[in-house]
Amino acid sequence: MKNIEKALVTQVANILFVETSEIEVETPLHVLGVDSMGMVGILVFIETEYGIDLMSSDLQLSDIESISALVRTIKRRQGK
Amino acid sequence: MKNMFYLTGLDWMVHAMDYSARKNTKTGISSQIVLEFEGVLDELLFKESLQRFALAFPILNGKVSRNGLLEPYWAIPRRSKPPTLRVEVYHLAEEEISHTLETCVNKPFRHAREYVVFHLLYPSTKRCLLAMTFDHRLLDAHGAEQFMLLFCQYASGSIELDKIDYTPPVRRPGLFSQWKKAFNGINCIIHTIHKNVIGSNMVRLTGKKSSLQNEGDFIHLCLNERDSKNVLKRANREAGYLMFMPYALSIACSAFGELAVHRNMTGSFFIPCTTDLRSRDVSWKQMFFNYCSLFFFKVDSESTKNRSLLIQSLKEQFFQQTKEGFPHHLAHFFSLMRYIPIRIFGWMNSKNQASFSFASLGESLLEEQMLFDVKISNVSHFPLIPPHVGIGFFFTSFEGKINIGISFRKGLLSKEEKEIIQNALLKF
Repeated sequence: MKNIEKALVTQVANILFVETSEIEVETPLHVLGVDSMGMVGILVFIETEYGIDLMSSDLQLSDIESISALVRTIKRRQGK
Repeated sequence: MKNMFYLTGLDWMVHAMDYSARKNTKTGISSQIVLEFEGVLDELLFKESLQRFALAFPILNGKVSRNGLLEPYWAIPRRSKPPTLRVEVYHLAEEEISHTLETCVNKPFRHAREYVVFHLLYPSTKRCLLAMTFDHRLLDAHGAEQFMLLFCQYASGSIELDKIDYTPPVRRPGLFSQWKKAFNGINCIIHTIHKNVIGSNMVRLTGKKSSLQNEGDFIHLCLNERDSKNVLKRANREAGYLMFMPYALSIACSAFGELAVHRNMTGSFFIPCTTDLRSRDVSWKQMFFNYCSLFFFKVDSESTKNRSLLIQSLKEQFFQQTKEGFPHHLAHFFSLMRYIPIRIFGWMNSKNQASFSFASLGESLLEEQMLFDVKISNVSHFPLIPPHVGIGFFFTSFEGKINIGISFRKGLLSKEEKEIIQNALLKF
């Protein structure tokens, strides 16, 4: 779980050009400054790294709105 | 300050578009950013500060040059007059604002080395507007916002120009330095172009030559905060979290689809969609020149009638092209085009089959900014569309309000068609 979180924090920090220490995992991504381009970048990363396609899934806002929500969703999908 | 900056492939693409636009319309690829203020700017104070500000940017005196057949570069004369920025002032009625702004952006620059002109509009004693017309060869939309942001900060005394570095990043001249990168992405480019551009019956709005004029025309829709919130909620619901760009594109496709139906045209829409390759934080080094690449979207005209299918298709294309790194590959590929003479590249560019162009610029950099203690209340963009494309849709946002701009060649749309497009856009 921690590894996925760490990887996502690094990815979001890269997208936003900020330090990983500036990324709060519970903060909604739009508050962090992620836009459509950034969001697709995150979803591409998840598909490439974990083989999970979240772009075409029927997800609720609570499944993807923060890094911790994304981590939970990835774990849930991996468990299936 | 360096005296020459090699152009990137993206810069050269804009030069080529500018060249063919200039041939057809006498005006190049210019655009206008319009700032509305809650109060009135002091005309004299503004003019004096602006002239002092301009002195810091000798780049404004430059022009494109080339060493024989090698790469083109932006050359700044070693000995030239200090740069100046022209300001035109208008005292006018409220109802004359739109027409005046339109006239300003359509007016060609006075000479070959004029790239930025300001227009101060005073419709009343309580508010004013400031329009900056700029040449896209030197500034793109984001760069123009950065230029204005820097001026606001300079005018407020919060930034000293000699303490910041606005020298554009080093662009390597070497003949072969970018070739490897350019060839690496060639499969991705061929695949995307083949899929989205070649061999399809593209819907394009062409007006009668006699009715088309060499000027741009604009429709500007500014949603209030409540309507903007509703649009964002619908975007979240219908396209997904943080999927405003594909949602806005679906709105543009639907509006364009209604025009196509009105003209009994069927086929596919090919949409080049601008994306900014800059880092997210404001870097003054990336203020001048061009940093925008493209996504290529293709939509079947029939699919515009089914919103959820349309959004799904746009999201899939967005995802796939991001995954393949298409905008970056395209930027590297364009670097090869720098060896092609401008006349040939301009001609190649004018043959593209785009149905309309699209950009979603996101939140303005000028939010919460003041100029001489006067609050900026809105910012909108009025770009001139290349004549061979004809029409474009632009979404921007300012402090929670969505601005939608439709830019088209004068004479392309009838009065009835303008209403069709406005109503279609406001339906969402």
